[in-house]
Amino acid sequence: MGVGAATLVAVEITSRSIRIARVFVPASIAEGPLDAVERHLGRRQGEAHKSERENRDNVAEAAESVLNRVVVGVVDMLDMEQLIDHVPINKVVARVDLPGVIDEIDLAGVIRESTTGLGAESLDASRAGFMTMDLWSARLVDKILRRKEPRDLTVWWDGADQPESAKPEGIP
Amino acid sequence: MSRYREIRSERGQQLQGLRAGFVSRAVASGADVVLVFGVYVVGVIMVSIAWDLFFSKSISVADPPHWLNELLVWILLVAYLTAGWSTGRTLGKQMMGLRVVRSDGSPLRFLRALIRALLCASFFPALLLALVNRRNRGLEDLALRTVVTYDWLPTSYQPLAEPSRDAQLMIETRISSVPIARSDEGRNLAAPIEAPSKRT
Repeated sequence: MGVGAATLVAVEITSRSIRIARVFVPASIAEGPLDAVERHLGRRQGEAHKSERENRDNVAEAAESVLNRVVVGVVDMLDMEQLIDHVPINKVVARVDLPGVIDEIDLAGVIRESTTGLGAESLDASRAGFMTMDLWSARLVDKILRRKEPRDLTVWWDGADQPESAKPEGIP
Repeated sequence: MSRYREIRSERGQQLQGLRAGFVSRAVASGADVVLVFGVYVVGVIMVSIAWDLFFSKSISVADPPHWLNELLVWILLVAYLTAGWSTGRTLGKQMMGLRVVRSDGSPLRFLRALIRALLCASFFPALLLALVNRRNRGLEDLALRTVVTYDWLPTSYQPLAEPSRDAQLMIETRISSVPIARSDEGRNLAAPIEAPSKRT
């Protein structure tokens, strides 16, 4: 990493020197060699940047590995049971407002909703399955009997006005 | 807001209020018979044990004669079906989301429910007629002008005057054995919109 940084500093200094030289030296004399030097500097600069990135990654990896080992080593050295004995768990628990926490969670509601929802869904699914079988069996019988007209499954309501709430959407 | 939004199945929503098919009805009736039979068996066992506790030294389950078993199950079934149909619906129909109503949509009264129960309990294969009838009507429905409809919601309601367009289209495409002519299809689709929602 140190070599890469030194290279970058050297490249920077050289680059600035070339810019100064271009001001003082006539272009017809210095342009060719200075361009060649600049190209070379550019290549070196690229290599130095790449090397710097790799070095940083390596250092980060090494630091992480060392840190992990240290932490694991420290934890291994600790006597957890003794540590727990020293922690006043009762005091900690006493500070927690458990009834408040439980009140915040509507446990009964959660259980009720999940079980009701699951039950209703499975019941609806099984009823829908039997509906499909109804339609299928009717179609089969109609095919056997060579019927051309579809079945009339409508129930005609000839009593009082049908309540609006009982109409499915799509019926004006 | 339509009350059918409570129903989660799309097909279930579409077919509510329409005449129920054979399979659903047969399953519901089968469940009712099994329930009644189970209640009878448990009843016999409990009565036997209670009898033996008071009047006998040893406990044993009674074994009534065959004809008595059949008669008691039949009586229990008639009573159960009558009670179910005259006050709402039986547990089997509740399970399958079906409801028995009169052909005009009104609920069954006691006498009609009793006659229907007698007919169903005495002649169970009468239901088979629903398989071939164009309106899914069993023998008991023809005799007593009753209808079994899909009704998944627990509360009672008035049957639909017209099926939804989706339901009508689905019935036609799924049940019809031959393709419907274009003009007929258009007329059927338009019918629920053009016609008022009542027919006498």
